[in-house]
Amino acid sequence: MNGKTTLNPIRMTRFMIDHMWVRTRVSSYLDGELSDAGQARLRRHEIDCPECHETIEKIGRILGALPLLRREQPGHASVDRTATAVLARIQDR
Amino acid sequence: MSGDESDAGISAPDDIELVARCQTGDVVAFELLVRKYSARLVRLLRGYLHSEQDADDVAQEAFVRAWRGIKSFRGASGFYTWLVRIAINEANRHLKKRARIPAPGTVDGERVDLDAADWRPGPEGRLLRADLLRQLERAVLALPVKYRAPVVLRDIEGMSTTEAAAIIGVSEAAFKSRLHRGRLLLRRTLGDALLDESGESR
Repeated sequence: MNGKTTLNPIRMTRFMIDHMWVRTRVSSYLDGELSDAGQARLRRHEIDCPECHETIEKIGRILGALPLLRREQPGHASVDRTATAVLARIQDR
Repeated sequence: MSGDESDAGISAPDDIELVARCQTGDVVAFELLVRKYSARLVRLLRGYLHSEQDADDVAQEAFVRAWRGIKSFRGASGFYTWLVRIAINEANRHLKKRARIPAPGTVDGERVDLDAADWRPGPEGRLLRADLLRQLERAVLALPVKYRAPVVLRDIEGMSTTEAAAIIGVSEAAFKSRLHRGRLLLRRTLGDALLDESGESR
């Protein structure tokens, strides 16, 4: 929550409820799996909560980068090697 | 599973036919399945184990186990989904046995540099620095197995939640929970590493 803002107890309670709710739904939000109402609730909270905003930002960036770790598919030599080894083992029994 | 990689939970007709032939002991049919899926499986395992040799060994073991268990395969999922489930279990056993986390940026102990060719457009069209990729790779490898599998299958391999959950053998809700936990751990591990070229937090 923004430290400069003082909320009354009711708003503070609502903030904390939303905070816990958002913390468990960041991935669903970023995966596009939240309902429209859920997205609106999350975005409302994000405006008031730098912590959640930062989490959403950083996980979003991680998700954008993770596919770059995907390896190149091995070529025919690897396939031949695997097939030869597997067939030798299963026919050896 | 994305793009040209079908078999997202439903076997293609030729797989069904091949599996049926395998169940009668047809080794030739099994070889066709090995040749069809070997490259995809090895690629996935290289990302999961971060070692070409380990990936080859685990892939071979997974195929052998699949052959031995083929008569019990009922086609509830696609053959590839079933195969990856076997492979991930085998990979986890392998990791437990080896109880090691390989050095990041290495394959079989040899350093693999992510050089200029690996500078690729990142989110918002920015260039993702090679060292950031290394940090990310290191963070993924440091994840506990329970969380590494969801991240690798879903976020790196691009599988659907449904297929990835089926591979791991948990409900979709449980899978999402593990995936989220894995992502939070990555975020914690990377900390402020996600800085842009100006050093400003991105």
